[in-house]
Amino acid sequence: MDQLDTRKAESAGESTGWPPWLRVVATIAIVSHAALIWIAAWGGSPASRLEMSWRDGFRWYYGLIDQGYTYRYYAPEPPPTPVLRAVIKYKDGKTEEVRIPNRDIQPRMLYQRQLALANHLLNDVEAARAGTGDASRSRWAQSYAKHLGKTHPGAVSVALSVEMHLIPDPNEIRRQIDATGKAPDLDDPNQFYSVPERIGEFPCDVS
Amino acid sequence: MRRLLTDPLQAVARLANAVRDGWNRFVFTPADPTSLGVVRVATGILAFWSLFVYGLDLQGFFGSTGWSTPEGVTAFLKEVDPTAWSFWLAIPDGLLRPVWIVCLVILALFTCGAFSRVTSVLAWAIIASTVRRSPVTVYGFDQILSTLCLYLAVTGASGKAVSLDRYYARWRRNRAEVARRSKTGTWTAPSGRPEPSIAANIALRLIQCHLVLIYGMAGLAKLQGPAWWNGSAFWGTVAAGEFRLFDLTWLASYPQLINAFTHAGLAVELLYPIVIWNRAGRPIVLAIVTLMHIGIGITLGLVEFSLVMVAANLAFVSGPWLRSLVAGAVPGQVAGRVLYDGACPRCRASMAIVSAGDPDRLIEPVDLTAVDVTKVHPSLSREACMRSMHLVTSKRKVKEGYDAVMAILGWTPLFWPISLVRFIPGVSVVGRKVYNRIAASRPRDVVCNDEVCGIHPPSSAQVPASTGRSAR
Repeated sequence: MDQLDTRKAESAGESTGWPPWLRVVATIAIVSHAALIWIAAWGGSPASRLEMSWRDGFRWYYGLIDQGYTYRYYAPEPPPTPVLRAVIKYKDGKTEEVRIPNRDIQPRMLYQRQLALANHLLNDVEAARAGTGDASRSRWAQSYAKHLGKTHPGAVSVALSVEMHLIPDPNEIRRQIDATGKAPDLDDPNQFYSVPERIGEFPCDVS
Repeated sequence: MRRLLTDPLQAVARLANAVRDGWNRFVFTPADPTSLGVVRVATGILAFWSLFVYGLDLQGFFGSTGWSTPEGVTAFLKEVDPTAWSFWLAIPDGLLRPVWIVCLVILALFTCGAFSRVTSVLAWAIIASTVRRSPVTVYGFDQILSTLCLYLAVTGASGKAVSLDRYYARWRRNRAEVARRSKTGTWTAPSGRPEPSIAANIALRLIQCHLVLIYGMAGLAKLQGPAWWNGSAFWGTVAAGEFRLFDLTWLASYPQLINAFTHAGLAVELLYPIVIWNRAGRPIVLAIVTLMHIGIGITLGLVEFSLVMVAANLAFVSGPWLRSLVAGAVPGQVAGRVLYDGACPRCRASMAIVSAGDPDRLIEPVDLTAVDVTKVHPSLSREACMRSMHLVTSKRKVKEGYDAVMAILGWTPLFWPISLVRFIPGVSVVGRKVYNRIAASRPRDVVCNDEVCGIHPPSSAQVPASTGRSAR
């Protein structure tokens, strides 16, 4: 059945084949594109200077077509998950805490978007801290704080911190199951969260 | 001595010829575009859903005071991707909602395969712009979605099958065909099998090669991590508190099961780029990765990511096999003969509409005015057939009227949504009454049985007499 189909396709190809010049153009385009996608995938950290320089040389192409990804999912290991906490202070002295990602948000894809928000913020905060020594210089931290200030009328400041929701040790989980007969609550802040790292407090535009 | 020079040159020439021939077979052999059409539908649905979800907080994601401000995004893009672009950055807050609606309409048209050459390019522009406008919300799903949209757009082949574009073209051909039906009463609708195309093959090859790179890189990158070597990485994914949909901590009591899942997952990613090219191994690899992605979707809640990976893997599925799922294993086997009133313009139009969606000549239309209906099935009578449309299935079962219509719609994927209404209680009772009323009041061609009408043929009789049309 499959062979029959292939034969038909090939015989059809004889009559509808592309002219040689078009094949050459298509070949150049496909090979070039494939090579650049390949270079981008290899050029992500960790990579050699050669790989990174090649990747950097073709950033214009990746920018144009939204490519250049490295596809290193769950590598080198599944990481703990960052959680953003924002404490919003109001004029009257009240405070409100916002957790990103918000567990109650629906549909699930919005939750995934919020996970990405926290993840990108963590990366930017780490880069800001490494570059300037000041986490509050993070571009996205300032942007998130501005957004939270705008969406919470009356807010005078937004304090951001990030903590890691840790991956529990399976041996410890096993010990707790053996001892108590049930698994521990993975949301227990005393066991499975890192100490929150303060990013900074950002004043809101209350005008 | 001379051979020391000529033999290596000949070897190089042979290698060059082999590479050229192999490349031509790989890239420039026309392929059945059915699987590409299915990839388009799946990609379009996911793209629509993604943008729809962004719309639930449009100002938050794309607005001037959103999570990532336009100024922040512009500065960020200048640093990392100077040539990156996004039309969303030029849209003022007040116009975000109308533009979002227009984008959803375009994505819906793309999904259906309407004006697909244009809408596929626009769909890619929408997805690429969305990714760039909100870089802080991007995750693996967006990368794969953008890649699929790029290849569907750049080759212009996504609408060659499973599309409204193709349906429209077939409907026009069938309309002409039904008007030219022969004296035997039967007419043959053009085959439902789409023409193999080089552009479709290039699109499929690009998706396939990119997918191989994705799995290969994901697998190789994991080799840096000790958890993938000591077999504990799977635990790290299912016990990640922010992702889990179900409590799988009980797995901690079965460390070897965790090891097995870890090693299996890594092996799949590392072996995929090799085994997927083997014809015998391909179905097994596809089944395994599908199960793996279903598992990721269920345990980690990464449903959309899993679905887009499965959609991309459809590029490796044989088009004829996909079509056989709805058209039957034997190509061209008629599932039923439809007896319709060939003297009724509405009936002819209906047959053109239905047969245009026929996946592979499942329906054989038979004009009852030109045949002895008892030869189609001994239980049929001309009077009964004139009252309502009759369907004689390949198993010699006879359905009539509304039930025949619903059976035919059920065979045609395009009309599946309509055929589902029959399962709503009461619809069948009403449907039969409505059908019977329409059938009883249907217009028919004026019968020409005197000299006056012979001189001035009725306007409805558009087909030349030489073709044997049955206007009498």
